[in-house]
Amino acid sequence: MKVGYYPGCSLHSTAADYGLSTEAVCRQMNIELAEIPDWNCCGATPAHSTNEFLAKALPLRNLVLAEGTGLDLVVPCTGCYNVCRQTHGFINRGSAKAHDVNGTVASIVGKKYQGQLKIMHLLEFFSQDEIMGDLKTRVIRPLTGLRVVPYYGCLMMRPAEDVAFDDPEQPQKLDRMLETLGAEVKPWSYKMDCCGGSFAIPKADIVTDLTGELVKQAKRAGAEAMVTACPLCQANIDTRQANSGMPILYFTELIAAALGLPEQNSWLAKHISDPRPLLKSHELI
Amino acid sequence: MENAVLAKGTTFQPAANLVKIIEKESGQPISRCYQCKKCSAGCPVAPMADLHTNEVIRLVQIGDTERLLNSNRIWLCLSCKTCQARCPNGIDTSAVIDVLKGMALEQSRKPAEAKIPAFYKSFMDAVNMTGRLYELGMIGLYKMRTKTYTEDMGLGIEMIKRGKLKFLPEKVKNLNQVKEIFRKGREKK
Repeated sequence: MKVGYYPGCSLHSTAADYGLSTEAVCRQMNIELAEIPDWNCCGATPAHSTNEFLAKALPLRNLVLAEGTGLDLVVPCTGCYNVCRQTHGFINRGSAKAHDVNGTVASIVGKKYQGQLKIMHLLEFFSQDEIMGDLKTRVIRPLTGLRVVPYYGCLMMRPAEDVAFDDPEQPQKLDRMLETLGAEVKPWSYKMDCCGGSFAIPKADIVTDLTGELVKQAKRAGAEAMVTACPLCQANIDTRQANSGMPILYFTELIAAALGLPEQNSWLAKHISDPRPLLKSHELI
Repeated sequence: MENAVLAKGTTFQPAANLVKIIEKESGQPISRCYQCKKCSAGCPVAPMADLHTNEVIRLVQIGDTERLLNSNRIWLCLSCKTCQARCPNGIDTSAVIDVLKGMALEQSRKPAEAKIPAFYKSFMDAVNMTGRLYELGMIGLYKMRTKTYTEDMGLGIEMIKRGKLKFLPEKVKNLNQVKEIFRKGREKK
């Protein structure tokens, strides 16, 4: 199977662990990730907070490039995914503004976005019956006894009209994924609460407050680790709660553990709050 | 009249068109709000912000541009869209706040939370330079703008050691296309 792949800036840097584990798991499962040629930054929160045109035009260039490949598009970064889907929805709703932005980007990139691209979050892609079925047969080290809470964060399911591939307040896809891998999934009420997002640098005190509450609640739920599918959620908890004894893993890292992949050290070593002692204690690495 | 939104002694010139302008710019049906406050109940920055989410909508309705554009609330919005998910009237307040942030920047107002727009600007400048986010470049620009040179130094070093912050930027090949998009962005906004 071959799909288009938009890693986004984070997976090449602050979320290199997410990128490496994603690529390794896909290789193992015979999923070919074809990176969008010459992609650019999606603009993230700084674009929509400062310039409406850039907030749509920057992701639109990527969508035009991806549509040209004829492949479905898989996006692992929740921020990028959200922006891609919101732009896709904006163009397809066909407002005068949408026509204007699409026309302007076409005059620069050479092609209009036709609005036909299928854009999936990596978690959504892995949650398809066919891939979950395949994954199940490949689990050789089930995560039995590993107590986790799934942490979805804000942007994966909101705003629902554009992005929700699951319930916007009570999603289950990551829960199901972790159960499939054999983990003990703990119920908690904070799976959709905000980590502080783009305040990582300018308002670290707010991020420390919000992530502190998340970690406290994860502990109260009986979890030993949190699991996410978002680079910003991971970075905020990993950096601002580094000494809390609560590692935060990408779901792809746990897939890799369950598949018994040999190269896990190369991404697990990148965490600030080292998850290896916990995984070792469960004989997963 | 006593009103939780209008502080004692506050005077303002109501801008009659504000609600119309912002409804048009944000695409949000602001007039529908009946102040149920579900938005404020779910807001993660409610304890730190000087206005509640429902108050933002109310102030837009009555046209109090001054209080809106001078508030720290517009900068503290995290765009988590919890308010959007819960609004019974289909209003996305973070989209309204995006328009307000744009107005504040356009009018070159002194932002109540200066570091946040400084971060946004540094991020966008860095993307304009290479087409992809070059984190160290962005952090450098941000630190020069805010003079926060030593903040998070230790953390930065830990990230560099782990290969999570790279010394060299990645560049988009057709960088002229990205630059042209930025040029149009300056024209349009």
